Amino acid sequence: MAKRNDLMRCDIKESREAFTLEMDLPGCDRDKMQVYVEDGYLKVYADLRRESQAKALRTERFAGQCERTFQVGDIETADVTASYRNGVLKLVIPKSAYEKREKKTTITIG
Amino acid sequence: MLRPSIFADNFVDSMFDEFMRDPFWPEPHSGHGPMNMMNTDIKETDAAYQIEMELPGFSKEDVQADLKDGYLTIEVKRTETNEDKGDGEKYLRRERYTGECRRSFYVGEEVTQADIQAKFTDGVLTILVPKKEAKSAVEEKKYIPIGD
Repeated sequence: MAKRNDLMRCDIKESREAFTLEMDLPGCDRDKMQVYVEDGYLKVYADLRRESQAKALRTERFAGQCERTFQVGDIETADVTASYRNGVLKLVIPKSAYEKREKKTTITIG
Repeated sequence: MLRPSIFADNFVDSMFDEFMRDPFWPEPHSGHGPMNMMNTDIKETDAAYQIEMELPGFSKEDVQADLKDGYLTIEVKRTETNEDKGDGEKYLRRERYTGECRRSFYVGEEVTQADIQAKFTDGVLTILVPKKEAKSAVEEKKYIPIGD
């Protein structure tokens, strides 16, 4: 059986201000998608399970749960903005989220 | 009587069947094999056939569906070009397909373009093709009035 490599296909772009991820997730309910950052990893989870009364003659679409992880470094979930349009989940991570972290606090030695 | 095998296993031209399964001959514009685009579910209710096709990233204006000689053809092209490099933007990784694709389904010659309903939501094109009975070749009985 051939391996399925068409799930959650993602383009990643970098501009001066931000990183943008655009991920194919057609036909997903917004409340069945989760995006969060945990320990330096951005995780996208989608539940594509569907109920249907009609008799299925041919099924090619994926209809289960899927998750994909990206290593993003030291940012927080709140730094990421997400939008979903035409079946594409777009995640934007502004580079300012990284600049916040670079201000190290120093301890004065008395 | 319903026309048989409208959406049976070989609803796509069987000429392409062997190409779809062989990884060295990817079907250039269908949802099969390594390319995996235009993935379609076909469902049947009492009144109609329902076709659900995944077309993420396209907008309603990019999708065109037409009916000719019993074949329903769905064609997608990108109409918006979002290749603006204005902001010093560059791609770090590119996985999504950004070209044209086309797929056809045989629905029979009894269906007309007005019968078919289509809508496009969240990157999924849903098409309803009502079931139509084939025109009976036998004429109905016409009674002849008998005069005096």
